Amino acid sequence: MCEKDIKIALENCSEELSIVDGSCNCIISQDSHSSQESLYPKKCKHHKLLKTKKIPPNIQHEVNMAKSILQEISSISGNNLFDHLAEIIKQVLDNRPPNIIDFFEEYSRNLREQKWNMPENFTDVEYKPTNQNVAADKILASLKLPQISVDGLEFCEETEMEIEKYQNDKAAIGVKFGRELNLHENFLLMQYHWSLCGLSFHQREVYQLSLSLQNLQQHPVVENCRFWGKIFGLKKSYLIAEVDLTLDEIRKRETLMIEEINERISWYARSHEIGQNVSPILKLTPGTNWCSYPTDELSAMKPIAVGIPQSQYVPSFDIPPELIGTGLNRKSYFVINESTDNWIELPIVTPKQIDVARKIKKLFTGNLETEIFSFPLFPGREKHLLRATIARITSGTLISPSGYYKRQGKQITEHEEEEHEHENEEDGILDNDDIICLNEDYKPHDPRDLMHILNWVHVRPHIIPQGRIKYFNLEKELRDYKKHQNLSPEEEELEEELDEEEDIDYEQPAGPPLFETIKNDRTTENIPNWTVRFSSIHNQINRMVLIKSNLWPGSYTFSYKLITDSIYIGWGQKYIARNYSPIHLPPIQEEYPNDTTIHEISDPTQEEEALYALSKIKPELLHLNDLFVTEEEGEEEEADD
Amino acid sequence: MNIEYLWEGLDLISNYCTQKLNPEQYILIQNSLLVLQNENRFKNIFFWGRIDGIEKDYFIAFGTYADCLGERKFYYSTDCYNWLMMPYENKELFETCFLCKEPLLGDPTHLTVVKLDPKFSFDENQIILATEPEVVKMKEEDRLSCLVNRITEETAIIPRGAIYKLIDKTAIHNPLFRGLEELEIDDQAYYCHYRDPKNDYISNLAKKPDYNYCIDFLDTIDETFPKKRAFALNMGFNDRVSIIHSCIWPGMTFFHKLNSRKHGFAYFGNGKYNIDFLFML
Repeated sequence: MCEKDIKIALENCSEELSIVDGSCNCIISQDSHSSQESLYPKKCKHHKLLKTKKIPPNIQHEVNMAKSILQEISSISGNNLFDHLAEIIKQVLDNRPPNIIDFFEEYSRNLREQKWNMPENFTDVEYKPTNQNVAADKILASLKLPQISVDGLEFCEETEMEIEKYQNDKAAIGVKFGRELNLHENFLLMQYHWSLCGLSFHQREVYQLSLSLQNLQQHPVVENCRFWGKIFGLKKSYLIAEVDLTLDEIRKRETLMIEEINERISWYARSHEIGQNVSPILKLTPGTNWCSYPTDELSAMKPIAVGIPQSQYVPSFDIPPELIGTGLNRKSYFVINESTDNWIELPIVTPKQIDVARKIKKLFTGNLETEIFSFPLFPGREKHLLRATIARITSGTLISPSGYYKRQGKQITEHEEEEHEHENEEDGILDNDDIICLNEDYKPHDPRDLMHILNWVHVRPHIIPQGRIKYFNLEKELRDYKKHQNLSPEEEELEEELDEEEDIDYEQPAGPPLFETIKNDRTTENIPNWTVRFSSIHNQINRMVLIKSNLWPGSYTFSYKLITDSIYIGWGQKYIARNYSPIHLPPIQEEYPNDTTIHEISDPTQEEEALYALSKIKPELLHLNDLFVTEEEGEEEEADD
Repeated sequence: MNIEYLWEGLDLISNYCTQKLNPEQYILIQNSLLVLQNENRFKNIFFWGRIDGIEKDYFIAFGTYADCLGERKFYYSTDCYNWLMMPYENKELFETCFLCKEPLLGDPTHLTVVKLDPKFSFDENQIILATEPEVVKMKEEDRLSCLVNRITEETAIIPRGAIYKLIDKTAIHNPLFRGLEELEIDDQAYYCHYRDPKNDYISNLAKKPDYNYCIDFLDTIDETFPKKRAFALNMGFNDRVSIIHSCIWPGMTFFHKLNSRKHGFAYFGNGKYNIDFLFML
């Protein structure tokens, strides 16, 4: 009976609670008590109950008693168990969580926590902007929304004008190059195709990025840009755009670069000459008391030991980078961390950086100015390493179906190409650095043909071991420099002779030519370099061919009818079959040359010194000194053994 | 990644991993996994990820019964709809799997021959005996199982509070989990390994000032060697989603939405352990 009553009482209370929140205590006491007992105050204490006389068993009284125990207010939190239980029952009935009995404790704890976190428990003095607010502001700012005035929306006529102007400009360029630039560089269109291959970004990111790329395209320096890919970093990622600079900009930078390179060569040539003249002159042994001798005698004397080794300064010369607009620096690269940032241009790449980047393995952090701690020391910061990595990936993995691109201004017919190559052999100029452009006569391959890697060709030149695309012949450059320096009529004849010799000397390390099929790729790792897949197995009519590089995991190219695009999404690390082994440290240099005239003797101990001092005072103890000498010799012999 | 919100999850990590699933694979996987769940009466079924092979790729999924940390059944498929049960992990193949440097082929029956390192016996810094390097033949299926188990063990992540330990010691997905809060979400100490805890129970509890016996029994990821470097935590989508990459198994990506119970991990990669990680920092 008693239990039932309590239940009824609790249910009543929960119903009441849902109607009148807050003043529950009052209601409960009124409701469950008969009219005569409503005289108890709101916060009743059970000791008060005890005072009123009742004859047991009295259910009413016992229920009231139990309730007042439950309603006892905690001295710590100010809550009471009755309210809490009522709240739980209400929540369970309202929300109906499944299997509530299994996590009853957790549920109860959560409820209490929520109550504690109720906004009315705190008086919010200050509004703190959330983290998301900062990002939201950034995104809105990057969209360049029309300014809102009091009257309503006012569209920025300026931006519209700009866009129109930009479109006109682009039309002019399109005519100049004889093809439509925007079709194949259309980022959104490409992203649609990538999403069918399973390589897309999030829709929102794609849209923001397309706006950002448009901004980049409108920059006066930029002629044309293409989304290159994404390289992950530990803290942030890099989104990278490949950019063709305008001719004016290239010219401007070119002149500066040529000056710098020439300066470097002249410095090297001069320092080389000085270096040959310096030769170490041997003097008398240091330590001997040679000051007391007259100079005549001194000159006649022979040194008894090898002199102090002279430092042999060898001036080092870094192979100069390729001029901007040629070779590895033909394209310029711009990066951002997030699509709302401003594009930052990466510096040009030097052969030394390529060389060291091949030898080290580093993760990117996401901050362009991070210093690189590595052995061998990387010349530059993270932005240089990023640029070198981009150059390596681009050169290794940018491919297209054969015939998709052609050398500019030349027909792609086989016969002529052979001739063309032949010409180049005669000229002795490596033709890898030709400008390529889209081939208008390209007929799409059958997708099944493209499943054979024989039909895919590299479209970016191979980087030779020197770290350049064109070989830089240092000796030739030096001779050229000298020729310019001391050109006299007498020597001219000699120079001509030399020139003839040069042509024989002038050999280039052979690399694969530009449109080389990827089947001929070689690698030291024991994996097939490329994997070709269809984007879809069950849709046999409209499917793309997706090819990925196993040597640079993350590099993908697809081909669908007339469209081909490449992308890189990855960590910027080359595949290594087992593990990376850093190159060995060089052997420790010798401080002093080993020679028969030098003996290593251990220092006398304290006792021996004392003995020696004693022998000075008392000559009769000299034999002890002899003993010490013989002992030492004995030790030496032992050491020799 | 739970099959319930697979597409949403893949979308959220799509900015941070290489090749995901294409729509065709997604449709096949989601529906065939639901069938698989029905057949095997799994409480929850998860898409685990993809390991690339040369000829074919392996798609991997696992299902759990009541205890989500206990028995997990792994399945693999090369065509996204025929799911084959993966053999249980063979602990003896651990070293072999680690030393095998050939890429996966895509044929589960393929036998790989692995030459183990020779074993040396030492006496006072001197090698006194070297055994011939042992040659072990390993089936690709076993290798796959070994790889998958190891990757799960080392890099599978769950936010704090997402797993609840019942009184009878079974661990279940906490239905009351409301997601991490703004102050917690960018801290690695609030993410745990999705595995049976290896550390001491008390020391795991003691890491949190507001410890809870039911949820703080798991190992946190900031304790993994190298400490605080083994995982890289980024925030994305207006700082609303936390993304965690594993640096030791590149390709493992985890996401968790702020104030939401949605979280999950997926692996897309070639199954190579990044042994050079310490060189790369």
